[in-house]
Amino acid sequence: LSRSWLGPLVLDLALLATGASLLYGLGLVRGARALARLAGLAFVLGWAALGSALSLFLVLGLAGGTAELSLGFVLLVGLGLGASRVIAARPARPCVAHCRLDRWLLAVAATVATAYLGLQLARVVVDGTGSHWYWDAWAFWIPKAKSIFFFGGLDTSPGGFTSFPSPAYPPLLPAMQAAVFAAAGRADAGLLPVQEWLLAAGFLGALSGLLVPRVSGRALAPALLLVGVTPGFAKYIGSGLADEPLAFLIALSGLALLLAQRERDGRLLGLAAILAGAAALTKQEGLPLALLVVLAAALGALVVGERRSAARTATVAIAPLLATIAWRLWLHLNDVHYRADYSPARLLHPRWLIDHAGRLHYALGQVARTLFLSTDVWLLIALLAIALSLLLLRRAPEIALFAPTTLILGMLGFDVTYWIGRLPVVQWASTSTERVISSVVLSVAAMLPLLIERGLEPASAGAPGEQPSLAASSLTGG
Amino acid sequence: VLVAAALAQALIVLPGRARYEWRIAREREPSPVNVIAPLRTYFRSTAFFARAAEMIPPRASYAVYDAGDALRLAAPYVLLPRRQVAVDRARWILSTGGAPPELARRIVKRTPLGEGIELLEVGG
Repeated sequence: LSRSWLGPLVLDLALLATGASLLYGLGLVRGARALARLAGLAFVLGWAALGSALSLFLVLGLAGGTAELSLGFVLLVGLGLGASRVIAARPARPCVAHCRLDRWLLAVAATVATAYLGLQLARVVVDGTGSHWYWDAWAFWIPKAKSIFFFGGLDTSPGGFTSFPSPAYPPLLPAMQAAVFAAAGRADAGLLPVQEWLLAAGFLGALSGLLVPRVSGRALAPALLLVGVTPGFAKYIGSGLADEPLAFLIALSGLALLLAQRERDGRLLGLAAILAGAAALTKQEGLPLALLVVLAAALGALVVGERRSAARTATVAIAPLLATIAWRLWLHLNDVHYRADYSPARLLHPRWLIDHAGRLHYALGQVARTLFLSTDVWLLIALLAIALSLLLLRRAPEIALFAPTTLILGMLGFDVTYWIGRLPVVQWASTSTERVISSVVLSVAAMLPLLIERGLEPASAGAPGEQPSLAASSLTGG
Repeated sequence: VLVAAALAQALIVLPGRARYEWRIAREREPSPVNVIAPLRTYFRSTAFFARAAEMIPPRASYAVYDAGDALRLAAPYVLLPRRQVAVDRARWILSTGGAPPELARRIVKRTPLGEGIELLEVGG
């Protein structure tokens, strides 16, 4: 094996170790079995945390090479080990899924999902850089990564990091792509698709690892299978775009928030905060999307009268806000001039909005169609989440409100963005809607098992693992 | 019932989608520069990039002159660590329309790269 493959392999092991250390520090993993179950989450968390650390180093003027990677690794592992001294271990949860008769369902789902993921791995290996045919990938994401690698950081001179389209986009994805180049010792874009595949596999592993002890196989298996085989999920693996990594971070952050509320567990809030902070550093819309899942989760707690829980949930918003401030400060201090794709100031000009109502009309149709009717891309995930949420709204509003809030506010957010944008709306919306809504779709897909589980339970039962007072204070008084 | 319907739809869509993705992967040309989709609209082959990368030294400056946005935007994907700069600051110029008038006298070498694109070397 040459360094081209050994280097990224070492990097992947470092990501896994970083995530495992943080999970250890948060008290979510304190044994080999828990670590094996949460290995997928550890990988995604390691990617998010090391990506955030590298972004911070870049903002501070460091290079983002192997030295910074090593520094970030040591600091984060140290942070995890240090935190383990003050954060108590989470008590082991009784396994729900494996104790029921539907274990075979999980096995079937895992087999089909693994086979499909295997096909995707074969595709990205065969395809190599052929996956990079999206405009954003070759026009700026990958050139930005190469510029970090070749020029030793965020170079603001001509031909450097800020010379490509969308210079204001935050640096986490190119930083992590550059980390792969640094590990491999060469800027070979053909190495990136396999890394993206690992992240996608880690995401599915994270979902199952988090949910296996909490919901039954009857609830988990169909939902996991649905996510795993959704064409929209597989389509962007290896694309070099930021949309799918962002969707993974947002979806896992939202799920961690719901679980934290359900179980009144601050450790899960810590997990959600790390993921939400990384989301804000991954793409411009990372901040609003992170705030959206925080809002959707907090709203559920508020509706059942859990103000303290809602307030604790809201504190997670601090992480993406701080991350955004750090990046914005760097843009300001380096005098980076850019023309944003949209201008929020236009919302203050009713005349302009009326004159351009046609943009909103087109966006409303495009986003709604893609979200609910793009059956060859996102299948029926959004419709299924809405239908299940409506059925459970009275019985379990604390989780049933999450999907409609996320879907409707997310949809409106993208509609307004296209409305106040400066690009031709037909070209812009038709080429981006499908991928930008992936965060919204995967967020509701990630919590589908919780909805299905509640739907399968008798009407009077509380959620497994749920604190009695939370169930008792639901709208139904149940 | 809802979950079963969604799953059934997934399993119906899946085989066709998998076949489609596999076919797309196999039919794509292997050259890393040919993935740049818009360029394929204008040029039969993007092999000229590979020739440009051979001739322009790493870390040298280059510019794209009199060519479409796609060529200008795609060049860094292939040519980094060569820096794309303004025409008047470049030592090398990728051009589809000859030399820029202000630099015409300073061009020391012209190399046709194919597809109507020339690589111009600018003297000191």
